[in-house]
Amino acid sequence: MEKYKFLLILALSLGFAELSANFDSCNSMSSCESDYCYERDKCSEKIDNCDYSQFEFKAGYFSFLDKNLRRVYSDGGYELQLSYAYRIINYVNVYGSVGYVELTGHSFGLGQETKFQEIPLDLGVQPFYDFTSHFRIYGTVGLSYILAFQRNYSDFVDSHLNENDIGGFLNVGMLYRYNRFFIDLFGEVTSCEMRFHPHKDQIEQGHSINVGGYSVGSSIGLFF
Amino acid sequence: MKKLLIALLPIISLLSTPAYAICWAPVQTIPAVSPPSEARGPVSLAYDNTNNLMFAAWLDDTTGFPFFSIFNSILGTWSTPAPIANSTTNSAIYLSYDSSAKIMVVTWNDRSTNNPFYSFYNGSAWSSAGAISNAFAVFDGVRTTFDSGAGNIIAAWSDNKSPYSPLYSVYNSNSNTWTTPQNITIQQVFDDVTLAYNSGSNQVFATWIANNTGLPSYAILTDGMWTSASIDLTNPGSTQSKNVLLTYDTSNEQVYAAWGAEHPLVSAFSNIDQTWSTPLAISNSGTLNSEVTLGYCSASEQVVAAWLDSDVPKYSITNSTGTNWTEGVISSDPVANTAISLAFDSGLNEMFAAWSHAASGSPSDPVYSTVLTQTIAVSGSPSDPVYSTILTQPIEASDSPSDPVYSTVLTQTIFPEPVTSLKGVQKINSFVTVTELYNQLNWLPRTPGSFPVLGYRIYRNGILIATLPPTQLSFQDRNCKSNVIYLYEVTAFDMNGEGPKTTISIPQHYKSD
Repeated sequence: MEKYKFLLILALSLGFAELSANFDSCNSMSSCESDYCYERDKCSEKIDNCDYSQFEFKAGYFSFLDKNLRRVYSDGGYELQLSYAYRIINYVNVYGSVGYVELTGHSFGLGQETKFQEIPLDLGVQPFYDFTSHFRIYGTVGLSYILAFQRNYSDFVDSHLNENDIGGFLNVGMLYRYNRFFIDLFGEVTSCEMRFHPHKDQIEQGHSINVGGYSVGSSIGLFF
Repeated sequence: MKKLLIALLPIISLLSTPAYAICWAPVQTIPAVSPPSEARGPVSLAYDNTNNLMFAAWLDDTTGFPFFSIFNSILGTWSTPAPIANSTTNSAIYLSYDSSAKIMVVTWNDRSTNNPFYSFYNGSAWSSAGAISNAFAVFDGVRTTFDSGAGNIIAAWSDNKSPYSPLYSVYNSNSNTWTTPQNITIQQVFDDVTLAYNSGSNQVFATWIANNTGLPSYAILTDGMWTSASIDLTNPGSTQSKNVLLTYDTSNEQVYAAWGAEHPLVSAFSNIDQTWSTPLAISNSGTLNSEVTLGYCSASEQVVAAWLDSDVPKYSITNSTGTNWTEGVISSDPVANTAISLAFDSGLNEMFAAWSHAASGSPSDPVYSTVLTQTIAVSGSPSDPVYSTILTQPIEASDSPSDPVYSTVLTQTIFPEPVTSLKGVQKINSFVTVTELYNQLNWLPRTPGSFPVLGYRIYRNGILIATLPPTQLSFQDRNCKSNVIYLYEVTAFDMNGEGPKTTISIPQHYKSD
């Protein structure tokens, strides 16, 4: 659990560092006092910029970190995510998401079909910085609880395996806002080690497997 | 901005679902009945998954008795056919397996009374033939299924008297009696009533062709009550089949129904929305001239349909999701004169197809053939071991009993040469989270001899584990253990017999001279 504590402390530290540096000021996208708004005299947009919540649908390419899993699922897979972030203080959101990851591949040896699915539940903090009223960069760090399922199309190994455990995640991204909507480019790394318990395994595994991976993709979202 | 948004949306491609290629082994023969006779009507198949035995049963043309044979998967041979009962029948007989009581059930239409008859195989012998009912005669055949939810065998048939409605009876294993037959519904049945058990919804399905409309119809038994309707209302009168055949797809939890119009049609019943899919033509060419039968391959989770196209046995197989069908020929020689029966052998992981051979001509001709009276074919995925047996020199079929028959005798026997360059290695088949060990054998073709090679046999520790076609020069022995020495012997065989064994042990560093 030490690594998770470290990740949580790191996330909170980043959030509070941002908070202390900008406590009395508002950034351009999230503040009613934005210079941008006064210059353009768009008070309605200024009000829009006071949105506290953002919701987005993400989709991306996913590949494992573990080289053996990458060998079996060599084509990678896809990840879908629904996320929600809420601004608790200037420059910092709390972040939560639920996702679905699916990869198909072929066993090393006989090339039999196999499918790997994950449901990651993420919770973290998301410091961000607005360059203008349209562009934002952000980073998110937190804990990830992953449910993993493997389906093996073979008569001689366990056809269904499932396991779950806690790991961590880190993502960075850049979004472009247009009115209440935004599009986002992101990259994410997840790490979560698990030990599966097959009944038919013929070779003692004796080690855990990192089912985390990296994903890159894009999303569409809404401020409200 | 909209274009940018569209361009940035990810392209997600779902990979294709797993598909198992299928290949049918050469057609082989269930041993001939002595004295020679031919099968009348279809050959019924059913698999005993307790003892891993494949049963075949048919109506013997000469005696009129129901006959049976059992396939021994280890030896790769069928038992000598024998009568099930000394009761004559005038229609097809059907098998089904009761996995709860562990008995094989056979049913038929008794020739003298037209009553539905049955017998049970208890592992060593068939019970005396008995009547399911003495009051409700059978129009054609009697079919059964095992309701594993209730633990009962259910039999169904079409009433032999007007209004020819579908009837059913349930076997009570405690009292060893059948319930009084009841109507499934009031509707004229064209021929038989087919049954299947839907384990996903715990319901029994019955199907038939309605006599007045020609529509494929069905009924569902839920908690002792039947509800009935038509599967396909779109093409009244177009149905050419006598029956609607069923199978249950356990992976997708769907009941499949098949029948024939101009081409073979299939519809699937979804447990989720309780409706039948729009009938799909699984072949759009040829001339359909048989029932369309169904089987389910539990290993690859695929449904197989089989029918005759101008007497040629053909098949079509789904992918594992049941969305696409792929058509092919089971065998172009010999052709068939009955519907194809399908059953899956979960011990061998092979689908069996059986039919009566058409070489003897029309049923009215008093001709016979000593070989290929009944034929059998086996399928499997390419990695599965398929079996093949030596075809003995056939005695030619005669045109009439008075015609002379002949057989050739080989005066000199030349045995096949051994296979060469046999190599073996233990390999892993890894899914990362779980790993399987298998032994891979490879060899080169034997030196060409006087006769073509009919196949290769693989023995593990002295026991025959596979018989391979002559084109296959490698074999994977699956599910092996680590730190265990396996001794393999490979032989080639031709029409003269089996050649000498070539031996190898795996792992090879354990090999001893």
